[in-house]
Amino acid sequence: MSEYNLKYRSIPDSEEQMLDDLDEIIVKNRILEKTAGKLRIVVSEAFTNAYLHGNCKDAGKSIKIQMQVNKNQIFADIIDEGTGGLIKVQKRKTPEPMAENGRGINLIYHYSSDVRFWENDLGHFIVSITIDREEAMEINS
Amino acid sequence: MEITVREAGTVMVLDLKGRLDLASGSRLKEEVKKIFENDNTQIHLNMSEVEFINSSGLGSLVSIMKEVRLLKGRFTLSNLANYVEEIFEITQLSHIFEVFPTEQEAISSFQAISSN
Repeated sequence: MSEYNLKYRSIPDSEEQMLDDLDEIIVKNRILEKTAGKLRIVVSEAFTNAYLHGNCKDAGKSIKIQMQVNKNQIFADIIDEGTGGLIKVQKRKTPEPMAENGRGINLIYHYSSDVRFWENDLGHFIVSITIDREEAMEINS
Repeated sequence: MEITVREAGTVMVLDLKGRLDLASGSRLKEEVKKIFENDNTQIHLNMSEVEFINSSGLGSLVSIMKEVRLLKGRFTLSNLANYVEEIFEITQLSHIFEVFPTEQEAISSFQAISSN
């Protein structure tokens, strides 16, 4: 199993760096494109959520990603340093067709095999994502 | 993301290359704003080289669409990769945007409307 601990400043440009780092992990672990596409979107959505709603665009705060990759599954925790993120997710409404935001959580649910939204002892919001690797399912079937 | 702007008759075409996310979505909106300032509201996005899009990128497209509607213009998209098309379907945005298989078909549709 491979483990990764990544940390980013809470600024808009960090998302590009995070996606570059994710692509490196994808190549190193020979994750097939179908699985990689799911991983990119769910981590990106959780990351954006952390930047906008958890850390409230505060550049002094960080976003951490803790990942574990094994031959069957990928686990990722996306952790912000804000407070009240869980309530924001629980209170979210289905976006109107012409809304400019509010689609991220739905995409996380759609592309994850499992997802959990929770808070640690510090009140920091954590999105814990599991993605089953398509390549493992093909071998096992 | 690289954004290239060019003219195709009366339509302003933007070629997008790379990832359409929070930061690049803001840049895209700025580029389109410059086009509006030149009194052009016929806009087409060629997305053949968009390798990634997330909800922030989608939000920027919705924002442009709303501006174009306010200005009584027209906004079309073409050449969506399968992955991008899937995201449009999941979020039900495929019903809101005018999406064409190719840029040529999109540009032709502008010409057809203007000749009517």
